[in-house]
Amino acid sequence: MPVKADTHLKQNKEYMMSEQLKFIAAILSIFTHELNNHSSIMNESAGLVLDLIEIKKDSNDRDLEQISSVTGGITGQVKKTTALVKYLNRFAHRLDAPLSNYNIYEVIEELVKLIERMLNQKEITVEMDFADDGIIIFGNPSILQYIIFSIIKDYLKCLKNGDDIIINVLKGDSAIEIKFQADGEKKIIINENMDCLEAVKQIGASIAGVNDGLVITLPLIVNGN
Amino acid sequence: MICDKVLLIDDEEDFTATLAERLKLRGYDVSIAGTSDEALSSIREGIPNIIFMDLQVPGLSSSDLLSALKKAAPESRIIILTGNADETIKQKTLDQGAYDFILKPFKIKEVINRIIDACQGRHPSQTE
Repeated sequence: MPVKADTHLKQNKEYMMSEQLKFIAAILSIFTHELNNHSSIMNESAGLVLDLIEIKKDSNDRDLEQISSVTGGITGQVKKTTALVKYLNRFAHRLDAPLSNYNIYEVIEELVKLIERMLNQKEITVEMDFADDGIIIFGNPSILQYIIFSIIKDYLKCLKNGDDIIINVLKGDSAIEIKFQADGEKKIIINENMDCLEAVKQIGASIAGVNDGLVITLPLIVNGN
Repeated sequence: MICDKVLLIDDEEDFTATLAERLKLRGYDVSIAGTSDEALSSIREGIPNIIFMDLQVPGLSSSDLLSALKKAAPESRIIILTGNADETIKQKTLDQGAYDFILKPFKIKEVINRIIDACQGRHPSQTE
């Protein structure tokens, strides 16, 4: 029996919501892990300062140098943690409204920063080759981040340790192209099992394999106010 | 038996350097590895009594690294030291042969107590 159009839409919507929540959970889990690591470094650095004060009571210049260096390390970690929290905060706020004006470069950069730990584990570098200050478009940045995340995950399955992924953004008259390339001949073959296909459709985009990579084409909608 | 050789496996250099210094101040002989390759190479140079291992270091997956460490140093006690609070992962690593599991951030006293327990063969479940 054929499925009614509204039932099909509802199923698609529910599927997308569930996929998007899984994606958010994955990001938050990676990121909070990273926050724990940074807190731990600050904790150990502060602990070492206390150890040095306690153990080396007959303080001399060398001790003071070491204490100063460790304290500098604590300050550096606080700076790093603050920067990461800023990325997480922006990421979370992308969900405030389903549609908004956003800078496509910022959205990609934010995602890459948030999944850095996942990339580091395989020693993969994502290079973002962005030509200018940014391209502002109107749409759903959160779904776009989900699509990019899914594609990077697919790349991780076929890349070897130390490989690079290069992301380019090209602006045309009526569309934006986000191009993914990887080292050597490694390519993702577009297939119906890819996680991001439904999301690509949902934002009116398309995905295609090209000679040296993969391209997502987004309709260029500006000024949604 | 002297039980003072510790290997720290973690890719956060600031973390390993600081924890190593704190353990050295308490009399431990500490080595550091930032990748799975470095960890296995360190073990070839000398078997540690205790290995502290993060769950996501560059190179092998945590599961493969755990197996490789157990094979290369069967007598070492492996304690997972991670910022990942996932209970499923904790249980999985314990099932795979990790001796203990410590969540970051921690107190140094907790780490020292776990080293002493592991050196004396006291299983974590017997001390809780």
